[in-house]
Amino acid sequence: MDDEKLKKLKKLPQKKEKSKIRQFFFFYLPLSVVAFFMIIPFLWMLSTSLKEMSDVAPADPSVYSLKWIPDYHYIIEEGKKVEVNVIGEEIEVRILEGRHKGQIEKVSKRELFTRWKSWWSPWKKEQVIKKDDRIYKVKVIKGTAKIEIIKESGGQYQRIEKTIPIEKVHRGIKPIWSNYTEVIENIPFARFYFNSLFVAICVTLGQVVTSAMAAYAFSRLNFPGRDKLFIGYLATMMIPYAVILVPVYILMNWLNWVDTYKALIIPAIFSAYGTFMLRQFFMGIPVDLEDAAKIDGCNYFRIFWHIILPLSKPALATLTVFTFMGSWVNFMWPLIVTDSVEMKTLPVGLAYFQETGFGPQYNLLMAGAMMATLPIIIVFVFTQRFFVEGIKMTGLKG
Amino acid sequence: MKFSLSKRHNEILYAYLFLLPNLIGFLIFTFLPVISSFILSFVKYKSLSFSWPPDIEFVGLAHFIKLLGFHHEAGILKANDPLLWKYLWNTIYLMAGIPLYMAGSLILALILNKKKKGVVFYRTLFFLPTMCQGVAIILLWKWIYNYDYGLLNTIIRNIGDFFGFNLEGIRWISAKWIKPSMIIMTFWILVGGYNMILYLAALQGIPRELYEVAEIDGANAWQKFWAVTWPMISPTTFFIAIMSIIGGFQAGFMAAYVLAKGGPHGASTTLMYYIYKNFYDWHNFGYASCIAWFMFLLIFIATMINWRFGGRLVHYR
Repeated sequence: MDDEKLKKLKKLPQKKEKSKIRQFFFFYLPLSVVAFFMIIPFLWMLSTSLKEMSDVAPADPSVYSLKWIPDYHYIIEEGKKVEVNVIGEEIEVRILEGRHKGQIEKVSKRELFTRWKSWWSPWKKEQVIKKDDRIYKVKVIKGTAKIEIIKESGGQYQRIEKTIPIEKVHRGIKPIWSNYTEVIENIPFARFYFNSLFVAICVTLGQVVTSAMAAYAFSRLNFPGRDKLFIGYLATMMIPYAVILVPVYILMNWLNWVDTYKALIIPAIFSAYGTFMLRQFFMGIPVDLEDAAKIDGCNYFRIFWHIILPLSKPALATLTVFTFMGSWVNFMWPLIVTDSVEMKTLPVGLAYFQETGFGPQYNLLMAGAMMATLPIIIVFVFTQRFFVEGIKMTGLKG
Repeated sequence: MKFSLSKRHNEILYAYLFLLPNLIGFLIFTFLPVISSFILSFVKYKSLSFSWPPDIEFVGLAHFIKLLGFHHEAGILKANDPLLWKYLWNTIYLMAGIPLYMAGSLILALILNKKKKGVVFYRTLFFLPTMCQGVAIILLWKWIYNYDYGLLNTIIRNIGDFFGFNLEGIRWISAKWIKPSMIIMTFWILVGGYNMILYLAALQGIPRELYEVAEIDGANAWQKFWAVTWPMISPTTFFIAIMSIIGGFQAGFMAAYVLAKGGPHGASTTLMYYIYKNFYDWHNFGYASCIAWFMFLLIFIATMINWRFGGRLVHYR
């Protein structure tokens, strides 16, 4: 009763009003700022993947301008939208200050800048041009655009050039979906996906099964040399991957496994870490249940299958998720044991894609990156709670 | 008596059956490689095709002398392998980002550690870069870092135009800037990831009463953080620091490979990348193994130092 009274006392009405503002400044505002920075690169990837090459990286860097939404220009002719190319824009401005005051100047659109009028009133803007390395305030009088229309009639292309007032040229949204189809046509993306998925599934299955079995032996069964062997397992966990890499690479060559699924899958299955993690978890399961089962005449395999495994679902799920993710993002091993394009996994395929002439074509590259990333985002959004629990568990164990 | 003996044998049999699949794999793909790697670092071996006995030439400590030794050249002391020290410096430079990643994760966790609407939404969003990490994300950052058309330089130039300065933008992928670029990229990838979740779990584990006691003593938010929160989460900080340092020595391969192939002029080549070059490009298996053992030694020493000195600062309940 006293506690409740105290709580009621704490929640005074004026304090609540204050806390709403606090909540905004100490919670939603900073988090939203961080979220903004987290999301911007993804949006940039999406935006680039839907743009034309001439917008992404024009041959002449000086005509480049920042653009988020892929667009095109059109004019309205006889009530219909007609797509046009803008070749050049010319704007007539009157200079408002300095030596050239009153003079009329023709500039291109890129030479006209908008800037803050003053430091203390950032909402007021003014337009300026650069002339002889100095900046002048200007007023826009009129603008004209030189456009190019390409018309098709009966298989013949006709090119018309026109000069019209700048206000008559409109902008519309036009995502270039063909970037994606172009990537799929040129690069065996489906194959990369299949390879990654197949390898990840096999490695995960293999690792969970063998680790769980070994962990059961280490945690529940008595056999000579058990503790020494377990210490041997633990000791190898301290050794960096690089140490093992060289001999295993030589072994793959000796066995002629290079460029096969065997090389991608088999060495990745056996992990001391999975065994260690599951063993720690199995140790925490009470033994009484098993004793009852033993009296009932269950053999060790049935105990493992019917008692231990069902009770350790969270640990198995965590190991599954992390093994799968580890295999999915693994880069170095697939890179060194694959030669042919057909055997590459998704990360290696993407890196290879960059090296084969598509390198500078960032719109296609980003379309590829988008295709590699989007499925993961979708899967993650639905399973994120699972991940969080898994991480907490591994962290506390370590 | 006989019954119990057979039961005991039965148990041993089952134990080996359960252990066998993992043990065979462990022996072939972990234990033997560790032994062979150790042997390899004392021999010269260059062939990839199988022959028995393998075509090896015992060179004793030659690899280690090349790796760690110094010699006089025109009166100046020079390293036998100056590249190694350069790449070790690169690796350590990149590890300078670890405190930044940790501080960022902790600050995010502190803000998120409230029972309010939207926590799950923000947490999911912050975790996205970690989730998607890989070549695709590094390619994205390579594009963001592009000198002429990249997002960062475009924004820098636009800001310059707006204020009337002439800002050129930065050559992000250059020998001078690539390491800071990699740290910025890694910060973006890691800050809302595993470490933030671990910190969040640690913060949620702190008993409310401790804060109430501090409040009664008149502590402000800053004092509460240093007197209650910081000591209570120190085991987590210690754990993250150790894991990050162990990972840090082995890191940087994928990012360096995709961004600039370890370049420009070796500016992004880490120890791991140097090992890769030695065994994959040049087939110097012996020397590559030798560097790998050197890396192990560094990790071992760093971890020991951590336990010895960092362990004291940790407050266990």
